[in-house]
Amino acid sequence: MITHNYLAMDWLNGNSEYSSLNEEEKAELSAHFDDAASLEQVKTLLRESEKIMPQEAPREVFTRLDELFDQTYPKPKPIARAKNYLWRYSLLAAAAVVLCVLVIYPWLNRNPSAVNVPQQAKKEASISPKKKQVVAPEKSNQVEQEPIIARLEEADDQRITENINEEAPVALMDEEISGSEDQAMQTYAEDAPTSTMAQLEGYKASNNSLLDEKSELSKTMKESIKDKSKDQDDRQIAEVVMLKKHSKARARKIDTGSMLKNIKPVF
Amino acid sequence: MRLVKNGFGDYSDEELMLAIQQGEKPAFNELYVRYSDKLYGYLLKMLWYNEVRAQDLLQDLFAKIITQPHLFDPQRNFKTWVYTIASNLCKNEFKRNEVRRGTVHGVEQFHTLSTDENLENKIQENQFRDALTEELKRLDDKHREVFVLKHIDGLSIKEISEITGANEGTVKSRLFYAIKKLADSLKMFDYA
Repeated sequence: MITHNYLAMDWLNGNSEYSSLNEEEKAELSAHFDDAASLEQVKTLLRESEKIMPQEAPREVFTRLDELFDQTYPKPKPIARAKNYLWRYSLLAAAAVVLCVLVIYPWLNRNPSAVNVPQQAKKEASISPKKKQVVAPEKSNQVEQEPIIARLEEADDQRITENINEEAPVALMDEEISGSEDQAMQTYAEDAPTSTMAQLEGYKASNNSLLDEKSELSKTMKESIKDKSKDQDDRQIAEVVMLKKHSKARARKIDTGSMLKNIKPVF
Repeated sequence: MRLVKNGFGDYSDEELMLAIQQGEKPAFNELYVRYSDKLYGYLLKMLWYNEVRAQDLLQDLFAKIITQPHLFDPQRNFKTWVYTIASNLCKNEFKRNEVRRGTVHGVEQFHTLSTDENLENKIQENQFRDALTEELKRLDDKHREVFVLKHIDGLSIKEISEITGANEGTVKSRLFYAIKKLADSLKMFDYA
């Protein structure tokens, strides 16, 4: 027996026809339905009920809800939005310009040796310790520059000493003249005690004139040498000063590059 | 991908609710299109075809979805959740108006509000539909609710069980009683 209504409901929800039921099932359903017609009537009622279209919700309800939604989730005003966008764009443009400057500035002022520092470091790492000792003086530019200046100063000293040595021929001439004079005096004194004093005097006079000429020549030579050496000195000093300045500037550039490299990105 | 597609047509009800929480108006519009007519029909039948009250309750229901979407648990089925709200709104309405469930007085009161044409004219236009509507009004709330949910809104026994808070056996029993009563009342119609 069907004891609960919901069992009959299960049957009603199914697609089975009354005719397909066996006698036992029909007997069970007879407790709820008088006959097959009443059962079919119920089933038809359900089918027809499902055909009933839902009512259309009124438009004004949606309009009111639409307004409520706008109040609950307000959107930002278009003008404010545009301003915000403009501000953002200008900020982005400024950031881009700063970035470009940061990138281009080191590139424009780049120092090949400074740029190659990491590569050199790599090379050094690959070189054996023995080689490293040999290569060690070339480690950095600053270290390299000091010997150059020292060498330049040495060269400068050498040139000065050379200029001074140019006076040697004059000294030799002096020695020769004085030597020859002494010799002549000795020969005249020893070999020609009978020779005339006039000859001696004439010789002396000619010798004196020669000495005067020599002394003048030596004076002019000395002066010219002095002037020459002075010019060279000045030039040399100017070169050294220039080189020193240049080396200082180089050192500054290297520092700038490394400093810029060390700058960490802010963005 | 969902992002490529336009609108929210392919979204599930639960995804639409999550979008509404983000303030997505098109999501709400989509949800309204899906459920407004069904819920309005349900409310109309439950409130004895009082259109004004049905509209008010429909608005209250969707207002709740707009203002308090966080109340919905995404793990739950939206359909049963929204019908539960509708069912509770109806129950509150019954209490507020002190309408006795299934009383002839209540039916007559709402009947006069909703129909201004006489019953005979309606029967002539759509005999079975009108008769069923009238018979539904005479059913008590519990039986009418399960019948409308099952045979008009197309919900499953399990869903009705969740909405009404009654177990599935009770739902089936109420449903059978409603059908039997309607079938007895509509015997005069030869709709076979």
